[in-house]
Amino acid sequence: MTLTAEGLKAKLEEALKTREQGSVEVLDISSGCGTSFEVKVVSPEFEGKNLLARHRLINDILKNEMPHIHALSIKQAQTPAQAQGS
Amino acid sequence: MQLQAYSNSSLAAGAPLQRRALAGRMSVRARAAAPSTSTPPLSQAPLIKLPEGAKDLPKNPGVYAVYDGNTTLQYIGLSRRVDASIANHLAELPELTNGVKVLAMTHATRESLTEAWKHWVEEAVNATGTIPPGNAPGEKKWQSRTVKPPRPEIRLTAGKGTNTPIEDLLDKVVKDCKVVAFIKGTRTQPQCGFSHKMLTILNNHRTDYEVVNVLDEVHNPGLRDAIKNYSQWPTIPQLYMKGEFIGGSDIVGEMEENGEMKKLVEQL
Repeated sequence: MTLTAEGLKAKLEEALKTREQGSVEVLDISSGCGTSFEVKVVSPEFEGKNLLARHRLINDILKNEMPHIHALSIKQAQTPAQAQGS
Repeated sequence: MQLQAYSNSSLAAGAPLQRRALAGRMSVRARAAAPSTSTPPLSQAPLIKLPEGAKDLPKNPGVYAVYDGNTTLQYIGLSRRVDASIANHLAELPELTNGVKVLAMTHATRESLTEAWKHWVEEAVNATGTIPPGNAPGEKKWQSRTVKPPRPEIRLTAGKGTNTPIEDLLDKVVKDCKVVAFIKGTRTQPQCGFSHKMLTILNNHRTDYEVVNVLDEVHNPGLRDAIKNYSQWPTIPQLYMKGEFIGGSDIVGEMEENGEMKKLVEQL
């Protein structure tokens, strides 16, 4: 199974409804071998969820990919309102 | 020489590393920096208020005198890194560490440091008629930071197999320990950057915490997968406080930055 930053991004965008509001950034930090990624998400789906729940949500969406990912680093998990404030 | 009797933390009971560093320096610079015969007197050194002034302290070797809130001299010490030593005192004895006078000695040798330290102690004894309380023989509280051996990692089994499911053993550790980090590697040698980062944050808060090494298959058989199922969290390290899953490396890092970790630790 080969993973790409684009593939993960599409999956997150779909599940976290960021097309209209928010954003998803996925960075492949493994120099191309598809095992280490950095993720930044701004999504309305995070409203009312604490940090742990937000990370769980992302992990859950990528459940099938996780066994093949060596390191997934979630650098940002904010609501659109928070992202504007920062 | 009555002075020999005074306790001198950094040299008498100092961390071995610090001593070795001083010794190393000595052999190179040996006589280049002879002990100063004219140590600037303690009475004329300016008193720096703490903790406000802590960030501007010299990073050099030197001698320092610690004062409490009534400007009573508490302790005279010497160090290879004045700022680090005083930061330690501030953390361990904040109620007695309200001010400090510093004599920075850029190219100090062990001899010149000891020499200057003696001058200051002598001056203090002459002025007050008594040894600074922290330097009194047998007084240990200003030296407590010296080399506490790291606590060993918790092992879930004795390594000879077990009839108890690993899940039960792991659950017990999580519930019994106030703070426990499941990491890859050991306290002193974490084997991945994320585990290292988590321990660094815990260390910064001087948290009393336990460590379980998920890579130790002999003593913790199957733990690496069991812990992921237990918390329904896909990665290691994992931090638990008071029986509750706090998060992995990213979450702990973010909580450190926004101040939540400090609050959690204070509430322990």
